[in-house]
Amino acid sequence: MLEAISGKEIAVSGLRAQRTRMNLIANNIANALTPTTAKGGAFRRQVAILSGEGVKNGIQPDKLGVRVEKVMSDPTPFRQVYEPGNPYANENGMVEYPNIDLSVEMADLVSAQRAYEANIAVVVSSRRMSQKALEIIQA
Amino acid sequence: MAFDGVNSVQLLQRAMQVCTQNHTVIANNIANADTPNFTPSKLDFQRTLRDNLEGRGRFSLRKTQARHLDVTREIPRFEHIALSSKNDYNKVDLEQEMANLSENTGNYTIYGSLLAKQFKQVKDMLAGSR
Repeated sequence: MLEAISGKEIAVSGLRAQRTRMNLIANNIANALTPTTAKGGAFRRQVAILSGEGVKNGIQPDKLGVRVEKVMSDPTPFRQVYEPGNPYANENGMVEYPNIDLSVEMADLVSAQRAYEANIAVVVSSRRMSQKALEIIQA
Repeated sequence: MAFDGVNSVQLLQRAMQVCTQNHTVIANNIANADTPNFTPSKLDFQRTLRDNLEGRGRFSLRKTQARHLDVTREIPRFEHIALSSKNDYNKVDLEQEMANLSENTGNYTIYGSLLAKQFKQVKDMLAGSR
């Protein structure tokens, strides 16, 4: 039943998941210095949780590919910075900044980008295979 | 074009179908390169081949000479050892998968060309008969 879903559709699900990761990373970087949010407190780092299944005998075609299961907040504590002049400072002069480390985000960004490129390679090879199949009737 | 009752057009057609399936498996492994706890899948050609050689499949090999290799001999199976450097228990080796993808696409191209060649031969034959 594997013919029911093409490699291209699986690769597109991978592209979509990696794009979501990249968007979350962009949002994290943009909010790296946001001390307040609508929910109160500093901005929390967000991560995408991916889920997928390996190909097995009798697997449903719609189970293939990768999905963003949910977007979760990173529970690690906020960064405490001593800024007595900041209006968001507490009585000790400490301000809570988001738990975002720019170097972590940049590393994640490169990882997401590479995975995106790998999925693009699958789309390209799917197209080459379709083209080759088409060449049979042109012979 | 035919030997032992196996039509080469059917054979190439089957080979292309296998390549398409393998492409789906590889695409799924690459799409899940960042999924926690994911173990990559692989089409098990080795077991299929052994089953066929031992006569449990659709084809079997006959020994016509004493020096022919014994087909019941154990064929080594290569277990994939995932040298994962990731801490999310993901066992996808992206480089290996990309190499498999490129090899699979190459095989598909070869089978497609051979099939096109078969049909061209038939066409040339028909043209010559006129």
